[in-house]
Amino acid sequence: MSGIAAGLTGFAVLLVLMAIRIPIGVAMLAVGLGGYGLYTGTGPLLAFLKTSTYYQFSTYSLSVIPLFVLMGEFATKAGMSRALYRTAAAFLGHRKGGLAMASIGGCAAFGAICGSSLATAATMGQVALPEMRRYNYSGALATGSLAAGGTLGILIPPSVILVLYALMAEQSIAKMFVAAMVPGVLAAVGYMIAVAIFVSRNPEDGPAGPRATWPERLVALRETWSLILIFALVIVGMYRGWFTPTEAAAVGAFGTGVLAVTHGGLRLSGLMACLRGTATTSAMIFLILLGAETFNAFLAQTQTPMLLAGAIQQSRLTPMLVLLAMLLLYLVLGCVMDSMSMLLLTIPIFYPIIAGLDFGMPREDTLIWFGILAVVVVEVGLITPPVGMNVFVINGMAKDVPMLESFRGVLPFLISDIIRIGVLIVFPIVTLGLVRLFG
Amino acid sequence: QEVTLRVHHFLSADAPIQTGVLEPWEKTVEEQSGGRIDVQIYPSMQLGGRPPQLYDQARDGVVDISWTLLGYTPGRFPVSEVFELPFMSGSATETTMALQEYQAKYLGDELKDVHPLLIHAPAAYKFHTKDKAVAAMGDLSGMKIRAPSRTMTDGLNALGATAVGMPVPEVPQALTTGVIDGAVIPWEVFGSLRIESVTQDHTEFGAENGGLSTSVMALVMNQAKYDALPDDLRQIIDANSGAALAALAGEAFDAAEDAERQKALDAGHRITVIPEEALAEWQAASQPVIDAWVKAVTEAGHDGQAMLDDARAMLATAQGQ
Amino acid sequence: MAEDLTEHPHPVPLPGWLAALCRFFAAIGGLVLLAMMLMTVISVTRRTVLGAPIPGDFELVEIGSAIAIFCFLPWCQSTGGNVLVDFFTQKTGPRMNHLLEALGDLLYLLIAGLLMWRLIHGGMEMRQYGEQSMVLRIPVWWSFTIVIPAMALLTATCAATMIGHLKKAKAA
Ligand code: NA
Ligand code: NA
Repeated sequence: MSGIAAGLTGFAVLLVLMAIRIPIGVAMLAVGLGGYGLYTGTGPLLAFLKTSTYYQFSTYSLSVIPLFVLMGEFATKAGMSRALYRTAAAFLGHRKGGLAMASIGGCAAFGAICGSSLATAATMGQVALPEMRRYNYSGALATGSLAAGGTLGILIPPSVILVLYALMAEQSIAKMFVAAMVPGVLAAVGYMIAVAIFVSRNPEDGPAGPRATWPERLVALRETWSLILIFALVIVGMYRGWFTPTEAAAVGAFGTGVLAVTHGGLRLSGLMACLRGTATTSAMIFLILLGAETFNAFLAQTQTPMLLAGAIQQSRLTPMLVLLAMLLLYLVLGCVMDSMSMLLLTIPIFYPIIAGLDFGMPREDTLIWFGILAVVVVEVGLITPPVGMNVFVINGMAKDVPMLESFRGVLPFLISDIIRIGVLIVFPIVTLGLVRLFG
Repeated sequence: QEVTLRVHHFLSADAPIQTGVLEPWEKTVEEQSGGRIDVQIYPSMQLGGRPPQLYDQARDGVVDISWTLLGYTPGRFPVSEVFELPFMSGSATETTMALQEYQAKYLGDELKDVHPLLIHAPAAYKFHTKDKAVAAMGDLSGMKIRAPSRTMTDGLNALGATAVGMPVPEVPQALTTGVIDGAVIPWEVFGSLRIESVTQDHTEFGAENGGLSTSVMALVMNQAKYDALPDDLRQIIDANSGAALAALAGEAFDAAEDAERQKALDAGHRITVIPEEALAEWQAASQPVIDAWVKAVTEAGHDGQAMLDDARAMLATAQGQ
Repeated sequence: MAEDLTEHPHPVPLPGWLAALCRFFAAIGGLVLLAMMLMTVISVTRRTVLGAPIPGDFELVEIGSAIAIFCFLPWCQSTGGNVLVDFFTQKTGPRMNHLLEALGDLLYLLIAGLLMWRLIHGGMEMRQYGEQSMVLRIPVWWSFTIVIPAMALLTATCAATMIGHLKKAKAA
């Protein structure tokens, strides 16, 4: 079987397995391992597996995930998430869909610390989901806004993926961070507008609460100031260079843990419950990461991504069409691969192609602009049906919401994404303006 | 094609190892074999796994050829660590040439599970710091410096700095965020790591003094794959490995080193050179690390002192040429 | 009686000892994660106040996170925590869905067994080669003394959930 046929067969089998209730991580592992063994040989596969699982779980940059999940568990146990949402409700709750907007703002702020969409969605979901459900938000809007909000994290610096892109495309990390700022803010604002439009059409999905008075708002703030302080410490600490993301997560988990003990009455049995909750969510995410990594290794063996890229390069299309084709490919690949592996796989091939095309701006600007577009599109892949990792993760936490409903919930955000991608493509200055200002 | 050789490494496709060594090698091998050998280069760990697994991937036939740093599996290749010791390195060409001799004499046993195509080294590592220049040994006190290897971890601690062990990809962000104050790395990785925007000060030990430290790099081939090659194709591989490839690698890494250094100079960065008369102090301070290596290797059944003396002599010879 | 459709496997009863073991491993993993958190907080504080982090803090996090995640896997499987797509099987009925979930468990069982078998070899090789962490020189194979029992437990748990689903399919 040719490489590309093997790769496409792998994709097809993966889709079938996922359709018949095989857990997503297991399906990816099964196809990845099976494909690897059939295409490359069982000897190499068995040798590869001797240590690959260990090293996959023993990765510094991924250790941020269980720590942030633990922080969310503590924040929930401390009753702080409820207090936080009471505060959010005090300020935004009188609007229709106000808590969904607050979730998006929270995701954007949180993602700025964390840099992982899955971890952002999982952590904010831990805190925000029960609260939105308590305020009678529909499953669609609650899970949709969190899944979409999770994708904001990766754009707002410091972002691991932007660093990765900068490294691979030989661009300055600082410039990549600056370039991501306006698109990141645009994304958050676009999502909030999407919520507003969604609830104006379906008012029962995100009901407006009572309007709080200013004294009430201050009381609510007083209940949450310690948690806000911890979040501020985590965020400012990262920007001021006090911690790495993992360290910020550890500090945040520690702080919320102390709060849970002092304010939430956390005792040994509660602590063990927090740890078990962390265990479930972390294991679920890491099984998916392991599956994606394995499937990715198989795809690389078949050279499918490279052959697809080669076909694009030889097609003699206009630069804009090549760009659109690449972005489309990202959207499709985004269904099954985690963003990081996908970029790792494709950027080394794509960026020389892009750098060689004439978009009417300097090479460096082209590469920065393409990087932001690629990261945005890869992130959109996390919430597109039929396979959207963020939707799976958030939906996994809302046991009573069917998957279809969650995908219905992300639809308005997807529309907002498509408009935003259009703006970023047509007006490169949106991405490059700040870079030129500070450069 | 008759034979496909899949080459796996952890750096990006535009790193000097790929553009300056692997791609020219690919071209030569493919041409000389009349297209019977097809070399496929997979950068950035595309075939899966993490950098510490690369050596075993070649040994076990997961890939046919891998390029890695022997120091990524600390404790596994103690004999080759001699060139990681403080002040045991020069330019890429010099250390690489010395390594060819050292490999022939001492590394056969350590690398017996694979067919080594090239054992080499980049140019000697320098200090690259963010807010404070390292002009004298005392300046290191209290500075958090990322160490490239286990040996240099001990070396930096001996010199008064606080060594921080962290994966290479973390370095740029750790520098940006102040988790570390500096890093011990060669100039050559600046391009791929984008470090030049976060470090302003650079400290070198003039090449004639021997550089601060280096890493031993290895391009190794699966033994069974090598043995199974038809005689004429094996000759082509032989003709393009070892000493033949060493010169190419030395030049490529030195050229990349000079280019990145020049870029930093053009951007107005400060370069401090530790004068030769100050070097004795540095060497004395780091001597315990060398002693510890000799002791550990001797305890493992080798003649550590002889290896060290030989390595020094080989490096001196290479530097004399 | 039709069961509710969820995006998780349906819960199935497990033998008491197995559930207790899964809980125990989750607790070990959780305590390792807590220790990792405390170590990091102390290291950050020391770095900020004294300018000297805990030596080897990065590698301790890497080792700790590997142990924690391996210990979490059986618990997640025992509680039906893994995510699946329920979009296409909303009308297939509980019997078919239990059978499909048993198939998923069988696949996971085979994969977990395979990974465990390979990890035993990997751990033995690491021991033989004396592979160590960079700063603290902790032998890497030490963590395998927890990783491998965790994988064995995961394999057993997959078998138990598979049997549970088969029983439920039969009863449905
Ligand atoms: Na971020
Ligand atoms: Na998708």
